[in-house]
Amino acid sequence: MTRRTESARLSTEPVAVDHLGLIDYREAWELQRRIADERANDIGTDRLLLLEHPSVYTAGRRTDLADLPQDGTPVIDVDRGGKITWHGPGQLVGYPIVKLAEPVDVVDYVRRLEEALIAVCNGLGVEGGRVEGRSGVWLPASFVRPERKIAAIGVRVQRGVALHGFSLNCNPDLSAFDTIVPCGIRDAGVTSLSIELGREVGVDEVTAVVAETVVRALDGVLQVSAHDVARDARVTSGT
Amino acid sequence: MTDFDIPADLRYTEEHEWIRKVGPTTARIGITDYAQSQLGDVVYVKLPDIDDEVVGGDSFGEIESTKSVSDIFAPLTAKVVAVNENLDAEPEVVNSDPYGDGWLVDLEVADEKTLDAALRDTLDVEGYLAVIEG
Repeated sequence: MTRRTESARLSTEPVAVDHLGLIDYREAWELQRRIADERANDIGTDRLLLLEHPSVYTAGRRTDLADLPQDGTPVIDVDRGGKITWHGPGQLVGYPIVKLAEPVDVVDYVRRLEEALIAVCNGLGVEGGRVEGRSGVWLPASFVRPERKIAAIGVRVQRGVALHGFSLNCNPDLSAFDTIVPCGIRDAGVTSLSIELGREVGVDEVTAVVAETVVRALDGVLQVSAHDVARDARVTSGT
Repeated sequence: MTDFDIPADLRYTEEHEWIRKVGPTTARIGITDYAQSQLGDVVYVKLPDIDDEVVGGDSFGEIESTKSVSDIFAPLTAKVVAVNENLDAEPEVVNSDPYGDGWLVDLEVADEKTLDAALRDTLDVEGYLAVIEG
């Protein structure tokens, strides 16, 4: 089946990009829900919220008890897809809140977000890709390092509007992931642009290009293509 | 023409649910082949409890895939009389057999006239094809 439009968005109005800086998770969640309600009622315009969160763990409904922090650290239960993850300084978080083109194609929407983040990583010299059965952007395993995730995606679609979104690890303190099983995947690691490139890559360095690239992907200017991470028998699967 | 399976004996909604009349006052609900393909691999299904009341047009559950979470909408106002508990252990059946073992819930209304009227307000195959083909 072919789409009637190259865009994943129903609206032809430009996406409004909001740079919110450091903002509390619950405050951002409330803002998302308010905008999503407006978009469901054809009020306002599609928005891309770009921000950082103070350190926080968030858990989707499928999170297993064994994946949670074992030290009693608070966790916020959320209504996005996926399991548990961490957000914090040094990680660029993006919440595109868009009314999706009809008929809604969730997989296509997520693949566009992945495509944008893959393009950003590749542009910086980090060769990322997709892993079958998982969302987000991954780097291939080598003999010395496991498959590892550099960007996470967790989305909710309600009344035809997408909310929640993605996070890209720029230069966060990745030790925050040590107390959880990120995304419930035990056989993979987490990485950042700074680790992979061997230099400091801050959120400020990538924010503008992420904004531009995400909008280009959603509007169909940046086409989705195959970027499958090479896997071999040493790498087991997860979700 | 679409490549998706759209059985002629079912009714459909714009939210990509199918409805099968399984008794004088009872209808079985699931999601369509098109819907499961657009969601991706289903990993979790959140359904209401038996005896819950659902309201037509409102969300009564969620389907989570490896890619996202989406609402499931009630095609009619009714009481939940059965829930497919097998989906707890095997949610992927929603992908592999959406019109069979991947069913979601059975809903019951007060009388047959009410059910037939509600079904008339839904889409036949041609109407649903128009939705997914735009």
